[in-house]
Amino acid sequence: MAKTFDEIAGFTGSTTLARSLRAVSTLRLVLGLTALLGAIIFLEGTSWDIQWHSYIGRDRTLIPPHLMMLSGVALSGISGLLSVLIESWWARRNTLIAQYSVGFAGIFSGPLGAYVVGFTALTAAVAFPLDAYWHALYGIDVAIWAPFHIMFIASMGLVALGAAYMLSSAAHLAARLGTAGIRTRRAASLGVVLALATVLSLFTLLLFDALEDKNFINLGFMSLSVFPLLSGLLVAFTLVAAAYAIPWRWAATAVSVCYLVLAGIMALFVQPATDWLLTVEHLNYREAPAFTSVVALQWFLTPLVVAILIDVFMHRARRKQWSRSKLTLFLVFTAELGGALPVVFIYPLLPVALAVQLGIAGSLASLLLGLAGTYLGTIFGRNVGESLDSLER
Amino acid sequence: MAKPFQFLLLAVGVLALLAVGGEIIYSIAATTHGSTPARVVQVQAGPYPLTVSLYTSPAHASYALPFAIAPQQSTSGTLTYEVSSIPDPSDVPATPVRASLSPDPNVRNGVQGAAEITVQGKWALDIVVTGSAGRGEASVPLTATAPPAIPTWLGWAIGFIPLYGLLVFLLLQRGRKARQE
Repeated sequence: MAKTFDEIAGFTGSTTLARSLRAVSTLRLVLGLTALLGAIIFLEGTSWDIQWHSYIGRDRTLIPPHLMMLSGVALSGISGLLSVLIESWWARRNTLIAQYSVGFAGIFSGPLGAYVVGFTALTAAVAFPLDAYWHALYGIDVAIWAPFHIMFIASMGLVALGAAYMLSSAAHLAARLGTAGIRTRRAASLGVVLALATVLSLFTLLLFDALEDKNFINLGFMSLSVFPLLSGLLVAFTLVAAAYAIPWRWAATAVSVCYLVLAGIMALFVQPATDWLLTVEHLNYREAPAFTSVVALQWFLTPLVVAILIDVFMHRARRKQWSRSKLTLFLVFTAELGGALPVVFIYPLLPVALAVQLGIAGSLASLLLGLAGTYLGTIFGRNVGESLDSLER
Repeated sequence: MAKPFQFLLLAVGVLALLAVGGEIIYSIAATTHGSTPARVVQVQAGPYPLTVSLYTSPAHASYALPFAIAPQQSTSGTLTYEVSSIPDPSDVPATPVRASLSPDPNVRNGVQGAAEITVQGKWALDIVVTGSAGRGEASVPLTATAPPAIPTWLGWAIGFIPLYGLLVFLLLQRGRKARQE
């Protein structure tokens, strides 16, 4: 059974060591939360950008939604870089810090998550001009499934995952301090929940195009949808990781609630911000806009149900000492619901419409593909969750 | 992770950082006016004869096109301008973009600015000028070019870089767990 934060022995060493640990855990907490804030700013900016593209058009490279997205990238990248630079400097003077850091190229020391944040924020920064180049070649109405949109969004999804690693290591280092580190530990654990919700949210942006019939795989005798595969992979990965990483009874549910809250923020701010900027910039709508964020309207509700079931099964498995394979089986079939039933705010009957479009054979084959995705997602989610659960570096 | 791979990753990171920095500098430089215009066009906007100076020709798609507009004759009163880059709908899938404008300190009633051209193809710089003699409009045709297109498969191969990274990271996590066990 995975070790929880509570089971980690309290650190009762010398005052100097305790002070060093407290300082490094606080540093990772602050910079981890800053990196996460960057990813959230990017998420909300992307939702605004989709609204802008849908109803106004891609009129300039540096439109306000793009500036918001780039601010998120810059904030995350600077946080990752600062974390590595500060800890590298520190580790040369303090062997304890070096012991709790991951070395890189014999030059740098820092938490694993900071490297992930730094590198993926850099790939996001590279993706932006490449995307402008792609638009310059192929026009403004490029779909979400375009090479450099995927690079941009996936990079920032990984920034959020890196932030989860930074915050998890902060929580574990704070746990070594016993009661003295309880506030840092609590804040870091909450941060891990929010970070995993941000991972789920950012990769959700890449799921919408999977529901479009032009993206079905046409085999001649039937059509396949890759939505169950991608959704199963994503939902299983993030929620199973949460269930293993966070020592709360309702960890996965907390992640899915935060996922809905992030959509709620989009619903509140995107359309008023679009209206305001339209007036300021003297622009016109290409068509009448939706009353709220189109992304929020398409947000998936099923992850909440999946998360509750995952938490129930995880709790039952711990109590009843289920075998690992039995628990995996339950988690795989539970996460499959996310791919099988893509219920969205704007169109609750979407799963029925999708099944009618694909036909019986196409639907069954798509669900089988989805099972492969949820299996992989569950395995990877468990590995990442267990890794997060014991991470100090 | 093996040391040589770490150095490789570090080198790629530094190069990527330099490329991003270079791109930012180039984008800022693209908005600035050079000393000599690349193309000068005389147009008649209603009652106002104008000289339009374009500092990049052909324009670079996805970058700003710096320009300056000056009246050919002195006019009484003040002239106000509205300038937009308008795509040719038969050639370019794009939307019109309003240009940024500021008074030209060296030319009375002149302005300078930067118009954004988002997509390669045929565009026009649409100039609306209003003054004591009324309102006039003129259009300056433009062509925007982009660097040569990379093959689509290469675009996708580059676009998936973060996903390859994720896969490697997940496999490393699996290896780490196996070593712990």
